[in-house]
Amino acid sequence: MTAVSAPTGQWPLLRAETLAKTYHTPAGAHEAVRDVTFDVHAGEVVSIVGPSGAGKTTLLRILAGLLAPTSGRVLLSGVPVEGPPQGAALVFQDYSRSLLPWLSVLGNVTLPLRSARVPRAEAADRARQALASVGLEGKEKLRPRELSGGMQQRVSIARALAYQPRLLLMDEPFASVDAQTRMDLEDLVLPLREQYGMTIVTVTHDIDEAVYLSDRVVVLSPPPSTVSAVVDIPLPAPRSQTATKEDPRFGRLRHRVLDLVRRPEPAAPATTQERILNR
Amino acid sequence: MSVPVSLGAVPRRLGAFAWQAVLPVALVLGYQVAASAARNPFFPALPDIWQAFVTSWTGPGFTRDVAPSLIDLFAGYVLGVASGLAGGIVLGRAPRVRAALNPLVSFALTLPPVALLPLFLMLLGIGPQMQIGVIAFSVFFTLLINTTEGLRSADPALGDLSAVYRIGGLRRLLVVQLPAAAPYILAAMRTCLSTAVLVMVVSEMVGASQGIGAQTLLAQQSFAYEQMWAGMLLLAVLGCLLNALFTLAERAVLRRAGLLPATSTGARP
Repeated sequence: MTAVSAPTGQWPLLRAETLAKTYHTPAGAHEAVRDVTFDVHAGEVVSIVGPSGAGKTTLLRILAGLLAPTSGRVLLSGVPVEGPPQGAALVFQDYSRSLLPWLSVLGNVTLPLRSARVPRAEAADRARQALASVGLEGKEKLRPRELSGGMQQRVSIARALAYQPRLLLMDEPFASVDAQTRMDLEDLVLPLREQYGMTIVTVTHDIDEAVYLSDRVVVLSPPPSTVSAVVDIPLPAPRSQTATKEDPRFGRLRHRVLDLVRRPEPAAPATTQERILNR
Repeated sequence: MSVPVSLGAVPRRLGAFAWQAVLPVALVLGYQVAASAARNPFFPALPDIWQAFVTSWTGPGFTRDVAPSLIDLFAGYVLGVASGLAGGIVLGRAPRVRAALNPLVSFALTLPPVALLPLFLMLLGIGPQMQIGVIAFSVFFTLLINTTEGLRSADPALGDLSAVYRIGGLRRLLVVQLPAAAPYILAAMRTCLSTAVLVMVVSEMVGASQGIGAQTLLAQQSFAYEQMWAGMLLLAVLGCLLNALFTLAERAVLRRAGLLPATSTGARP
């Protein structure tokens, strides 16, 4: 497990500070997120879970700078986020809509790099490496349409990796692939974190996946969301679909997170905040 | 409505094609039989129309009338498409400009372009510039509206993608936005192609001494009905041909862009 305590006076990589979001619709105001505060330290994998409708995607869009919070702020290395920050990549939930059908696999992966003025040859190199690391060697010239759903999601992960972000955000990244592919993709992500030195924040509705992937799990309450609890996952690395999931500690942690999602503990926001800040 | 069984080994598609050809062939034969029986000068027999077609539209007739018409059509169409596209891009990306110009654009779109012919005649005078101008005008607003709409109605996921990965400027326009709007733009270009032919004919009838439209109207006024029919035949063939060519080009573009399913799905190059 990576270090979670940052030296005093230094900012965590990502801080969500008393975030709130209220949507104003013709039908009236809808308070999706009431008060969410948590920190993510460099190198960590943090999952955000919660009952359905708990504003998980709203929260991730705020973290990605795609949505302005009604109040509160997001700090990336201490710098307030106003719009999508440099050095953050997002793997979208719906790969079929986030890959451009008119570009090849390679074209899709190199597009963000070319926008960042990475020279053509270097961009292609980085893209090839990223595609190889997700097991898509030799598929560079194909169109996304010619790939299976799982492979398309790998392209979208490769696009994020080639971008070499400090922070990788993922919105239900494996929600729309079959169970087998899902396990493959989960096992793909953890070694990539080491290889690329990234910090990963993922939103998921799958408790097993959250516990399996994460160093910590942030549990949201039913809407309007607050942080019910932050659960440490001290499972040993490297994790494995068989050994880790048979570990009795995995079962206990899973049980605990599941209980929290189903019956959130009434925790005062202030105490939750203190717990995190005093880490 | 099924293909006759007697077709036997003939492929089903050919059979379907033959079935579709029945009505047009019957109409042409019916016209021929009726025309030769009636001996009415308004409705000449097919061989006479064909004869007039060859003398009017091939050889010197081609260079004098057909070629200028086609050149004006092409020039006006390209000019209208290019300017409509450019204007649509501006409006699609600048909501404030769009809001300001919206009433004007809606008004111009409902205005039949041929209604403005007198104005174009006055401003541009007689000559190809008038034809080109009025054709371009007729194409411009449809392209403008559809390009704007195509850019605006793009999937919001593409906007998120561009924002997160900081894809901006010309790259965003050319690689993300315009390809996404391509179905709208191509549909507008197709609609405008037939409008452009219509406007070309009418503008030549009103303000030209040469060209397919001018010659066709002149033939009717000078009782050369074979020639009049030959003109209408040419325009019909031209319309069909342009539409067919456009369909081919459109499919090729969309397939190349991966917006149409490939003929053999899952084919690996």
